[in-house]
Amino acid sequence: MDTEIVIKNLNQYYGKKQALKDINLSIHKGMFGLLGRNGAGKTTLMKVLSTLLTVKNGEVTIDDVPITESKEIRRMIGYLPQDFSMYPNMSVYEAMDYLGVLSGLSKSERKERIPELLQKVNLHKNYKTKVKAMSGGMRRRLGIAQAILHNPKVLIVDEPTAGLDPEERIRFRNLLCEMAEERIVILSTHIVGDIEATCEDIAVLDEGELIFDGTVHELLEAAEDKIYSAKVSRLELEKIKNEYIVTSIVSMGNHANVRLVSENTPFEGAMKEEPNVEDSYMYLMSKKRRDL
Amino acid sequence: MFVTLFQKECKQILKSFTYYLFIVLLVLFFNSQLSDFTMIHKPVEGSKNYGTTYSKDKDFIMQQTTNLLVTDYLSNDYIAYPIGFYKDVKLNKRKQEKIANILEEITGWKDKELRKQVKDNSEIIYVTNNNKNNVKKRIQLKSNYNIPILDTINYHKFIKRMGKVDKIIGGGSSYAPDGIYHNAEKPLTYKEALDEYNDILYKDHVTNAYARIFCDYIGIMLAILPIFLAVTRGLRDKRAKAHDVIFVTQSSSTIIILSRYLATVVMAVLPVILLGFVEALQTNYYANSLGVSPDYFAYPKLIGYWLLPIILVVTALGFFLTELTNSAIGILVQGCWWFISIFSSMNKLVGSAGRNLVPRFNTVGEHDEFIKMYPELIVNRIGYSILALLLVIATIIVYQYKRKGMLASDRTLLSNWKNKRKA
Amino acid sequence: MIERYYQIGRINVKHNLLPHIIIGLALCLIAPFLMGVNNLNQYQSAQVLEMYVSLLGIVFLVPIFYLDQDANIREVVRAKYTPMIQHYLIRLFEAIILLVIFIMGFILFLHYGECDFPVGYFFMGTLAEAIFLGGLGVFIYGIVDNIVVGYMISMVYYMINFGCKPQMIPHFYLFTMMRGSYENKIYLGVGGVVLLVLGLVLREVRFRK
Repeated sequence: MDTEIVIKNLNQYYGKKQALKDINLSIHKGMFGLLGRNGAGKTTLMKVLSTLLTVKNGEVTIDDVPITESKEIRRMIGYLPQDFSMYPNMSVYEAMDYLGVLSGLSKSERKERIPELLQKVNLHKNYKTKVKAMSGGMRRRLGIAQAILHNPKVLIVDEPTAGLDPEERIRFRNLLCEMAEERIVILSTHIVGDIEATCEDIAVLDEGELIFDGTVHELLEAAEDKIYSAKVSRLELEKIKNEYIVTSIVSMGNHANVRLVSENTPFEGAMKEEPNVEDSYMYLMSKKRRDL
Repeated sequence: MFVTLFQKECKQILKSFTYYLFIVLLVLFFNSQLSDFTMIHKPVEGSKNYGTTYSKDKDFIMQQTTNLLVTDYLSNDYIAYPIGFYKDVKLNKRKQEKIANILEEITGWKDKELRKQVKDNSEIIYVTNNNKNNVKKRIQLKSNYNIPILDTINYHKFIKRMGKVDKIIGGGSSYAPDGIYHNAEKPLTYKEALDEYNDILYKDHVTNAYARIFCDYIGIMLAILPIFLAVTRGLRDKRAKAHDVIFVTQSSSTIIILSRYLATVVMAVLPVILLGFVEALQTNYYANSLGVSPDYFAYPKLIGYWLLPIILVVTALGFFLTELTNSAIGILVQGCWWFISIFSSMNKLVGSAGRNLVPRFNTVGEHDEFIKMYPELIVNRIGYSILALLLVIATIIVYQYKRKGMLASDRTLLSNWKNKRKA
Repeated sequence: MIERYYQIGRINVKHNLLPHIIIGLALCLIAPFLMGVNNLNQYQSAQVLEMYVSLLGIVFLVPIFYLDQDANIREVVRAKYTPMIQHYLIRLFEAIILLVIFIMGFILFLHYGECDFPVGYFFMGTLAEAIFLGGLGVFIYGIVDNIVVGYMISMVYYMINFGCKPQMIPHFYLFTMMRGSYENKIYLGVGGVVLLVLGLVLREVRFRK
């Protein structure tokens, strides 16, 4: 049976502030992207799934195991927090070994798995590098290696590419895709490009509410016929920015190429465009704003 | 799994700077004390002075204490050392009446009668206490005069009443039941001095006498040093921002906390055992040279039941407070506890256990005194061991709550300072 | 200029010193319950000042670098126009002013409680000891960038003095006024200032890139 995460009527509060509002979601094998602005509730959802927050209202199960069975759940999940770190004076190997013990691996399992995983994340030449001497990218790779040490069915990764340089970012995305071949990988991000490159299924959160749940294809479809591009003079730019949702601007001398979201043809000279994920996302967000 | 984790924790401690500092400070302190190694001497008959001791004669203790209480009462001038610092106590009218009532129970004399009786048998003296501004008028009994005590008052009843007096004065006075015998000082006879010497040789096998003073002074340091190891360990997760990663592993909170705690305790006790071993070599040799077979287990035994509970409870308190507050507050709390424990036993440096964290026995010998203190010491030590256990359980509970996201695992007091300071 | 210093000082009081002021105040306020503060002779007064009041030095001085303990905050502050050393000097100035006020207050309190001792000498002696205890912590904190170790060394130095004989720590033994001698206080005062300065300089050098 394939692994499945089911979330039913999940409400989560921080004091009086409601961080998640009535979330219903089911997640299957492969890469699952969680998109939303900062503070939309992504991290809260991630923390609920990794047992770091207690579910007060609603129901969450992983393979029919309720999330409240934290001991059982922790066996099934691997978690990479937003700013992963380990004791600075530990070496790469020591850190892996330490977390391996905490994850309940036997000595022989650790001896076998750790070199294998460090090879996979390209840290096999850094066994003795101290955590404090590692770059952000290396640290993140160590993080992913430790998260799958016990071969979990579900891997939860919070903002995995924040703070990485473009090259590191692409390498890291590929790594995640590889991991997703045999398990669920949930990644949260506010960077649309991450989702576009890797995910099949996505969900969009805004102010604690789930405003989209489906495939990337469906997201694109929703914005079909709503994206236009036009060449406008710089003087007009301010006015257009005020009136429409502009998804990109490319300056060219006194003119600028803009992409914008509009239900109908906005003005003469504007041309209909194929939406990309970023456009669709902006469209989705703008639609929600208008509904309010 | 527990054993592996425990080993890894020990290894972490071995890599920490605080631990080496811990050892250095312990050794320094040990050295500073060791340099005045007291030799024991057989008393020689015909000496002028064999030292002093406190009388064990209950009637004598009661008599001396009552005499003192009457003069203190009539002068309304009591002296106390609540935490080892001198304190002059003057009682208000209501409290003085309470003392008068207690005196009546003991002597059968009402206040008026008491004053009348004493008047003819006392004189007024002026004491300066070296303070030029403050010359105190005190009443002193004539040296051959004793306040009569009712026959119905036995020692047990007497002690109970003195307990009340001590409470009225505010604690730490000359009437505190466990220190009351201090009022009955007397010179040591040759026979008593010889007995004392023989006790050290044949009852203590020399080694026990020295092991006790070893515990006495090492205890002073152990009442503070482990807190630094505990707080360092507790803050390590916060400093490294490693808590979330550790929270989601399948290890139970009990295993995580217990492995950390026991590793800290074991690493803290190791250097103590080593120091004990070094000193034992010396005292074993000394015992042999005095022609006595040493007790080879004197040091391990005393370290086990005297010093270990101190390490257990101080470490547990450090773990608990650090886990609870994510701060180094435990150091200040333990600092206060240390201060109060050490100073409150300052006026009784030999044979005080009571509820004190650091039992004192600052002398070589006095076997009888130790035997007297022993039951109290054992109760005290068991009490602290239980307290340590409770604190460890509380730490595990706090940790469990943090793991579930019900308590904050990170709190930065300074987060908003960054913005404000940009001004 | 003045405004900038005022701002630095105000932030330090509000975000760093305040809890320590409360602890210091609490230490002073509970004193009368723990020990005599009236009619003490010279030696008894000295004991209160040397063994108790001087601990304020640890409370006020040691946390001097705590505001920029976090590397991120430190870098933001460092990047600003005002040199870091000025921040330290202002914080140090505030801590010492507090020490002077608290010690002076306590001494006057004892003095009006009919305690008999040379006020001027005892004030200087207590202040010197407090600065030494605090300076030791600041110096260590400056070296190892860890406040726990700073506290540890200051407190343990006090405790070692408590447990050993005066002649074992020549010139720097803490509790001499209660034995009637002031000579050590000169060493302690000068030593304390040297330690403070070294602590600041070491910290500055450590993070100057």
